[in-house]
Amino acid sequence: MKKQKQGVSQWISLVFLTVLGIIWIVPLLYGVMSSFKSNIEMQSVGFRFLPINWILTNYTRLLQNTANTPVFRWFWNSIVISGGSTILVLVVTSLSAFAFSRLRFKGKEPLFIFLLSTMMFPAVMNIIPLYKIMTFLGWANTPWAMIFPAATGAFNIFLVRQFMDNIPIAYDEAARIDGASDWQIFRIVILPLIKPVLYVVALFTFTATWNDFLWPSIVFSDINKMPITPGLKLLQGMYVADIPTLMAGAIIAIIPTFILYLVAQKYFLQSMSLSVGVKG
Amino acid sequence: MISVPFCILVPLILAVALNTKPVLGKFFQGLFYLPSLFSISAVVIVWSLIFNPNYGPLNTLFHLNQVWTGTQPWAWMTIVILTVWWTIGGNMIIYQAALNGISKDYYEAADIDGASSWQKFIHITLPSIRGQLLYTIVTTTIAQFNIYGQPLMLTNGGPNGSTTVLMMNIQQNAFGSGQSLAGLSSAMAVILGICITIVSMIQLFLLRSKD
Repeated sequence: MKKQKQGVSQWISLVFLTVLGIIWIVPLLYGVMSSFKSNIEMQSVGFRFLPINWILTNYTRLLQNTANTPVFRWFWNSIVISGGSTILVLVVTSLSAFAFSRLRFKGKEPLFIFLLSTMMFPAVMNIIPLYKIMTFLGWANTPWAMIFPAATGAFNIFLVRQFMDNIPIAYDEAARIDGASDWQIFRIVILPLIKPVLYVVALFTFTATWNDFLWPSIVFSDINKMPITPGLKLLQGMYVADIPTLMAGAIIAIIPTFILYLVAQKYFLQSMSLSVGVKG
Repeated sequence: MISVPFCILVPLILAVALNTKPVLGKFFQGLFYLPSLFSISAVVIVWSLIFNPNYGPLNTLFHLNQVWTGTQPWAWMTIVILTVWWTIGGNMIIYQAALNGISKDYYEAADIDGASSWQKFIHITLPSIRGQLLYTIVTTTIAQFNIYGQPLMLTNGGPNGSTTVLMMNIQQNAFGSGQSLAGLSSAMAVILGICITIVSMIQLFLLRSKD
């Protein structure tokens, strides 16, 4: 009796999920399909899901037009910026989390609380002062304008420290008896153990930097230096009448995060529950 | 702001549905989470095709003649739909994790007492995931305050400036064309920040005092 009831609710759920799933996937697929259509077909045929003639000219056009919309240059810039931020964040968070978790120094706890309190301020309030700082340093229009602010995220340090605190201190002590220095303890004992949380931090940082829109659209004015998200805004202005090419640009911009997601889905889903586990 | 209830309810229903562990559950979970990994500018471009008055599938498929992003109240609706599509994944995962953590004993005890599914949901499920609900309501509200990309690229603040949000104003004043009014913008940003803090405090207080 009970089993049967379970089965019914499973079926209802499945139908519901399928309907909603279709609603969720169709806009995306339609966008992908449209990027292979010609502009004339787009405007004349009316509703049709698949292209009549599959063409690649939308993509090659984006490749060739390097004067106004250097899409592949933007793509490369995004890779440099996101990759750079990820590396810097990993170095900064793992080292500072190690300091907060394992080392003893004066004012450690007040410093940590101070660090956490920076998370209380909504990000909006930072934008204008940050812009002033970046222009003062001459970093506007350089990748540093995005890489350095990313490295100051207190939440990552908090997350990694939390993880590190759960590693038994006995491991350190055993290593210390064998004559290991702090650096060796970090390298040989701690670092291998915190790998899972570092994956999460890396994926988070990469996608967040890749997708950031407001900050790069403020700090980058040079068309050749900007990453792809604010670039798409320019593209939108450029190809108002040529929707398929616009679609091609959008598809190019989502490919890297899509691939990352396919490869590391487990860690993404883990990261969400990790972040709420600490906060909630 | 209208999108907050949807951003809480839709993922909650999804999580409950996924919690019955149907076939392909993992696939659906991945599917609903997928859009949140895309950048807002790409998402807006894809959706602006859907809502395109001349060639968009919404109009051509259903033979409508609606200028979705150019007239109210549709302009707001497009923004809400896009926001829900884009952001529910994260909340869904959080609820799923929470639902997984509820002990089966509660439901069995309720079954013995003859509780209906709805009663079980209200009296067992919701109280058990209160912490996560609280967290998502606060974070979602804050995220809605900071909404920027959707109105900028989808409706461009129009029609007649009705979907212009504070973030666009701040950006325009400080970095737009003409003389820079960075001081004014900073003041607006600080006010927005204070608003966000106050609202989240009130929400925390209200939701805490319920028990």
